Amino acid sequence: MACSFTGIAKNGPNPYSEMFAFKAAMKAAEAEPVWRTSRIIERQRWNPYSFEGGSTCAIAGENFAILASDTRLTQNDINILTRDGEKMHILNDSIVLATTGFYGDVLQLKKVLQSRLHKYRFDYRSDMSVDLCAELLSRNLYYRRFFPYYTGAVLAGIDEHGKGAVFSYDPIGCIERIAYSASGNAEPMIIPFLDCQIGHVTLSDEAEKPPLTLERATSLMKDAFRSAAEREITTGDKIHLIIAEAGKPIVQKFLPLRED
Amino acid sequence: MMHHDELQRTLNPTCTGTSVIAMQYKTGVVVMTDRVVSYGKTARYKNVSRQYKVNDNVLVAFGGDHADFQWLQNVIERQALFWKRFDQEIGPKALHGYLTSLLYARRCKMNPLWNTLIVAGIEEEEKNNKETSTPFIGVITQKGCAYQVKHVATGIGAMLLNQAVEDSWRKKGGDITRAEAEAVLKKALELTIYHDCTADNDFEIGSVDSEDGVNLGKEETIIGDWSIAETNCQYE
Amino acid sequence: MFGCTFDDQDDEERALESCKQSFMFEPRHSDFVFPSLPLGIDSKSFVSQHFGKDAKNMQFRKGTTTLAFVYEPATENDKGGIIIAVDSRASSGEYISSKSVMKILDIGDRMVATMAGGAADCQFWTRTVAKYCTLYELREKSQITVSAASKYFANVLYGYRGKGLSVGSMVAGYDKRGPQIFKVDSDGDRCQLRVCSVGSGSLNAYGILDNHYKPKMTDDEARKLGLRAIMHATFRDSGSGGVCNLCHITPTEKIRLPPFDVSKLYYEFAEELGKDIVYTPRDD
Repeated sequence: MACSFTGIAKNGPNPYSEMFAFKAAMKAAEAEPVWRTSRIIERQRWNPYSFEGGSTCAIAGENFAILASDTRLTQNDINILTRDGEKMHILNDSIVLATTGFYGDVLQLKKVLQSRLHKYRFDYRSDMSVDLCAELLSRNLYYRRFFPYYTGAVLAGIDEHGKGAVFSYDPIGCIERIAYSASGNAEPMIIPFLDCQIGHVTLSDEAEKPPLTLERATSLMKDAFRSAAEREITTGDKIHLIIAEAGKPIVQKFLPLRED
Repeated sequence: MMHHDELQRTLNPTCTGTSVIAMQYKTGVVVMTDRVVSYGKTARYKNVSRQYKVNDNVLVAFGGDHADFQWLQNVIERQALFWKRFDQEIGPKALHGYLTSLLYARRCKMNPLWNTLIVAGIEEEEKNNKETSTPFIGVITQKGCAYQVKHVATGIGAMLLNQAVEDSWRKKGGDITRAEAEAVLKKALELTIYHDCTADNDFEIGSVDSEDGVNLGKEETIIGDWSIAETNCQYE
Repeated sequence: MFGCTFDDQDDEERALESCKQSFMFEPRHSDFVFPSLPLGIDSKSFVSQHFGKDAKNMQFRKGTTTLAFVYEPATENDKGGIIIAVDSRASSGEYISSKSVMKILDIGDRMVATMAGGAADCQFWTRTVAKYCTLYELREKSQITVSAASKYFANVLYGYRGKGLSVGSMVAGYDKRGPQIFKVDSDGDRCQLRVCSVGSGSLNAYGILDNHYKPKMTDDEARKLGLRAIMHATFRDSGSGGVCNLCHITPTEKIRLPPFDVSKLYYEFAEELGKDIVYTPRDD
């Protein structure tokens, strides 16, 4: 599928069948121009998206990557569906996907990635690296350019050199590798905090800048979510923390958060 | 061919069921639905069960459009038979996954199934081993958003009852007996008939137990305590 | 290879043969289609309804100032070529979703494309063009011209015209015909320019560029001009900001310069102009 954009399909389409299809479509359109009626307009207005809220965040360090999300799923931003929804998905020993947005799309995206990773394992007899998976995710998001996934994805893990990696995306797969990223409703709250604490953008040149250790990253993450839960309605209930360290198995933790 | 699809989609459900309430207990799941299907605010069909027994381990209950659910019953039955061909019984987790994909696929066609489904059952790790099997409740909303829970209330109950059910769940620390769980559900139904105009006091409690399997409940009625109405009249 | 049998070997040869079949000839039109909305629902209005200006969250990343110009060396010590300068801000709505985007994307060794408009659109389609160019070079055993690459780009975009893509890209590079810049956009437009700027801050950048641009410049002058134009654009356009990434394509190489923080650039330039930054109101 992927190779065919530049037009390298093994069997090009039969121009005749294309013409016939076009002719049939034209006929159908002429016979009953349905998409002008008020019924259709109402139908098109049906919103296939909903938004289950919450936030996720990821920080990359020298030899670790740490991800966190809350576990609340909400309906219409107000009503809590469940207090232990899973927004992060461990794809293999070195890749974790964290997504907020429409939970149906999140599940679909997870399923697509899992099956692609499975096929990769089958074909190459090794696990996919996080860099490859990041590109894969970007493309899969873009394939749905005209009916996008309503998801803010963050992909994190340990890359081939044992370094922490965090990739941030927009809903249609604009990809960027950065030191820390967040997505979801509390993104505009978490990122400025991390800019200050990890990016040190507010410090003068002379100020002391503490190095980013795993302990510091973990406690920053907890702070970020606790403060987000104070001021953001769809974030709360529990912090789900995933720590991936080079050469070690992935660790998961749950910490309590405000439930109001 | 587009215009033919057009006429099929449910965007305004006609005959609907309201809340479903379900809860896990130590060795199983209890699911409560009332027995009415409404047409708008009219109680159109009484004595309709809103639960469907898939096999001895799985029970599906629905809220939302009744016609869509009847169609779904066929689909589920076919899927269960498909598993039988391989000498397998479909488990709640598998059915939950299957229905999630189905509902998501339909929403992608902008042709949603107007249902909120509760898949309740016993997930067996090993066949016929009661020790390893665990209770399961899975929820799927109309747009394909799916999650697992220990207790749930859908429809208007999501607003009205979720917290009440959760509180009584937490009070027992999750270590709840079947009788207690049923008592909580009955209390919850009482709350719905006070506040939900499409709810009915005629209800059934279905259960899935690791010992007994699926039991579709008998029809029961609850009156409730309406004495508060005396003090709550603002319409003199 | 591990686990390789003779059959596998045969398979591989067959695969190679079919690869040659499909790659060694002029590519045919692809039959790939993006999954789209049913019922002929217009994806452009659908997407803008759910992800557009009024969307609460989940807006696409966009907003930019990019510029590129061709110049000739003023002295013998200079190299000449093309300067490409861009900012690094990506905003979704009013929120700055990234301040470190690399908006100069590589197409082969001697060519780059800049990224303005929808960030994902640019990244994806630039990658497609890069792939086309690589295959072209393998097939024809000669370097593709900037003109051809940009034409392919424009044709692809024209194919998706009216579907809501948002791309404003400059394909710049050095080939056998010398330094060239082609501006390509999502309407399928393509034109060759010597001085060019695209994006929300392009007008601000043009102001500086047109004022100070000379056909013959020293390398230092040219790089400074790029920086200066971007810096001023970022100060007058809220959609642009962050750092300034600069790329210099000379007749022999492609030089990527380290990012310049535009905030610091402001003070540098102010000093140079003898401008007093700290303005004290008169006390009268």
